[in-house]
Amino acid sequence: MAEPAFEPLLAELRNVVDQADPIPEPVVAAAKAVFTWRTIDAELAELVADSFVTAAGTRTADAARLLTFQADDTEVEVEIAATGATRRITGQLVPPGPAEITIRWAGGSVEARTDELGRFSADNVPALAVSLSILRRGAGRPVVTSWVSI
Amino acid sequence: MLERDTAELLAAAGAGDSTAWDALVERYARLVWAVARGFALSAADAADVSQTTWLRLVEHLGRLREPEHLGGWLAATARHECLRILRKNGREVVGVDADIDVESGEPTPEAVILDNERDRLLWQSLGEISQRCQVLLRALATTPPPSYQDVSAALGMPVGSIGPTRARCLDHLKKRLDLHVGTSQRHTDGGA
Repeated sequence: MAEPAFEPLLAELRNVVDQADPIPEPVVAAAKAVFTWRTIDAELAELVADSFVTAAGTRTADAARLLTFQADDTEVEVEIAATGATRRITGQLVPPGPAEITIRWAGGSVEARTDELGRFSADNVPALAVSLSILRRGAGRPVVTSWVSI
Repeated sequence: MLERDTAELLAAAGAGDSTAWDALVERYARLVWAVARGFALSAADAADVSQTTWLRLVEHLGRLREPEHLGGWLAATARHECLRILRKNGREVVGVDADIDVESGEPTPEAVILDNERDRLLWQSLGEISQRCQVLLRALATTPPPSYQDVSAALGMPVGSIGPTRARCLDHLKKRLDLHVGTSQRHTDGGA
């Protein structure tokens, strides 16, 4: 597998990278801290579409970003619009129905409620990794979306 | 042995054991960081990739199909997040996977102070080889050393091509380094 001739160079590289670009301690601490975001007993809605990925090349800087999350019986379509340093989130629950939405990020959260058509919105969401928790009225457990950096 | 440990740690973390989670972070955080920095992301964007990658793992605790391949799963997740950020920043993604040397047009990673001249030249050389080679070598240089499976996930390449690619990348790095060392010596000799 490994050519012995290159081993010293790789060892040298390891040493240089450790000196020049070690992982910052706050990054390790943040990775440890995310464990508190563990959601037990929630259904996961995976990110299945992201306009930043599918529409690469045609995107303009101020275009809204469209995300689609999918769980077994629920789909959530979300539009992310930049409003200065923060984000405005508008969403659509499919199928529609009354639900309480919590948009979570490290250090805070904001609540929203769907209207009769399953739409919801929230302003001033920080440009961080966020996850939406959706609790439909009468549902036993919430659906949480995959984390995505907005 | 390590694989079994990882699966055990994952199971324990899934059951709510935060010390098991911390151990997983200690084991793989450097690999995730290496992938992000290998894609030449800024420190802030690399921190963002790291955070999102670990959040993804939290949400997938108890859902991973192959817990013994956690390193590869994390590397692949980090890779996807890197590509997402590159697109978000409007950067050209096409060349990322190509075997094209970055050359000196692109700024090398943030200037760092390295006392040793050869170390400095090696660091500079690393910034000049292809993006794919940078990701591969950064990943390989992490501690603990990742498996070829982990590295193949970081690159989105078949595991069988990691060996040859590794050899080619190290060869490129060596040539760059030799070039810089030669120039540096000539410079020193001439100036002395």
